Amino acid sequence: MKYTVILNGCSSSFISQAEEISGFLWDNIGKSMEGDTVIFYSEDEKREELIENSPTAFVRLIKITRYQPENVLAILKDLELNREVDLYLFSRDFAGNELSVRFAYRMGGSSLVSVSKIEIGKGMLTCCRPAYSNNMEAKFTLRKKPYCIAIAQGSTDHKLTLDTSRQVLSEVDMTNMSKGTFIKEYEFKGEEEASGLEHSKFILIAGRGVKDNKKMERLREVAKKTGAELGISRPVAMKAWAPMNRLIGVSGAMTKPELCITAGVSGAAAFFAGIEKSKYIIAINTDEEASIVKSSDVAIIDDYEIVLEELLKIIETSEK
Amino acid sequence: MLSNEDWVVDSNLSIDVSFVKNILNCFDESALEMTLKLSDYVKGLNIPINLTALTIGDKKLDTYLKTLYALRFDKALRINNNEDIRFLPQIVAHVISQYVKEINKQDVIILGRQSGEGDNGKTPLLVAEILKWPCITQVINIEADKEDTLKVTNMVDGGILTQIIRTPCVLSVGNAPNSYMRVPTLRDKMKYGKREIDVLEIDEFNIKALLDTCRNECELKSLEKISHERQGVIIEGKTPAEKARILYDSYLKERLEKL
Repeated sequence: MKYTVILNGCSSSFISQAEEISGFLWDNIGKSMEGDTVIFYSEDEKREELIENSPTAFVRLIKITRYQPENVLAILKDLELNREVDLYLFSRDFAGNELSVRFAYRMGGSSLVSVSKIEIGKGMLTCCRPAYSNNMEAKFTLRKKPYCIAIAQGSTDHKLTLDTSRQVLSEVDMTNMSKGTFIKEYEFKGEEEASGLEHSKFILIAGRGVKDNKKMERLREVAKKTGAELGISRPVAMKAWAPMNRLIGVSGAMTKPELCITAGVSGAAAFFAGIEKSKYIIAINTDEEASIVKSSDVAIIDDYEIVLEELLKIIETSEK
Repeated sequence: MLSNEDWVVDSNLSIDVSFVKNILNCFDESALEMTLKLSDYVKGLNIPINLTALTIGDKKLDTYLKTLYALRFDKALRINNNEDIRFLPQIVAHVISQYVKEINKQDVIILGRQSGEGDNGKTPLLVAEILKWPCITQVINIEADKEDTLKVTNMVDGGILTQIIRTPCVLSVGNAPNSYMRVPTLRDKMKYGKREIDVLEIDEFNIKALLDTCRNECELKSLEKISHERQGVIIEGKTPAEKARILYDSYLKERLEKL
């Protein structure tokens, strides 16, 4: 059985994507299969770094002008059509999710996204992934090769890098490829600041119980004074009271802090997935029945505003 | 939200959610509001626009379609279905594409990126593939440009991309701020919200053979509740200040010091 990893080397998060794939390979495949990695990239100065961080020893490089899914899919199909690969692995980011499904369709295979684990069987691949907004885990059997899998965020704790040297098997330059007529103009704006949530040790999260932008502003100050990163749940994100990159949950950041305090968060499963790897969770909520209470280590049933102000006073006094 | 005890999986791997209040999926809601905003823009530019809403499911969904009539959609259509297609996005994509190809041609198809039950995250991508149209994912804003072009903003890895694109295309809506769906006026509800919903049967879309193939190619084997439970110790105290003090002394101080 053979596998190929597909990675977007134009993405600023390439290294962490590659590390997660390495961890996923370690957890699920080990050394039982032969594999290589296809990396799309555009900047020559990053070439060496991309090769060094490849999750497999064998690397195939494709140079493109910029990451554009329609072009990348066309290139991939031409490249892979006559190869007999059983399993394609894609990263857990936007690109990986999109490519896995569309590429599988073009190759006549099957696909699943947000896959947390796989098991290889004879003529089949068993995969687990969340369903029902992260309330349930669904197990599927795929029977149509090639299996195209986009891994789930946080599906592995292993962050491995290979110590063997890498070997570039092939290099293709596709920078002269026709741009097509779909896109007339484009403008890319890089993220102003990375939120840092995924690596933060202490997170304070605002939920639906935070009623207006002024209260949100105050929470921002409390977070700053206590040294916490500020996170938000979906209802707050939808009101645009904080940037979307502060969103926690399956469609936002998947965090694993030492300490997590939630303020006015109800604790829907799709949100909770974003904090379930926290070492310690403290919930402050007026509703004792809210599901966050049972999902926390310790909870205070009261108005989060008063509790946090009191807590801030205690912390500030004890620091003096 | 269902309580822990309510997540009961039966022998068909179904979960009874009939007693829970139905709501629009958050991505679908954003997609609908974006469509309405786009319609407002386009009308402002005097470009003709025709809005169709399509859903697949049973009669319970008609209430949403009636609201969309009241919000001035031109056509609301339900494709009646009683098959279990929760985990078969290929079927949903097949029906949508066939409808667009053979019954009611469109320039743009706007969909939410993921449903709350199946969580497949595949339907918009498969619609694009079947129709051989380009697709933009994680869309957060759609504006009119010219008659056959749109200005589409979407989240991509590492930033935000704004593109002027040519139709036809599929737009898959992601985490879009400020996209709660508007509420129709009472007047519009009375005037437009009572139109009959068009209904087609899913059998008309030749899905029988495809159903068997899809179920075999990607077969659901089990569904299990993910447990999120922790200790959930509730701090008792007379005042918020007292509770904050107990929290700090017994649970927080040491942990903060270790950070």
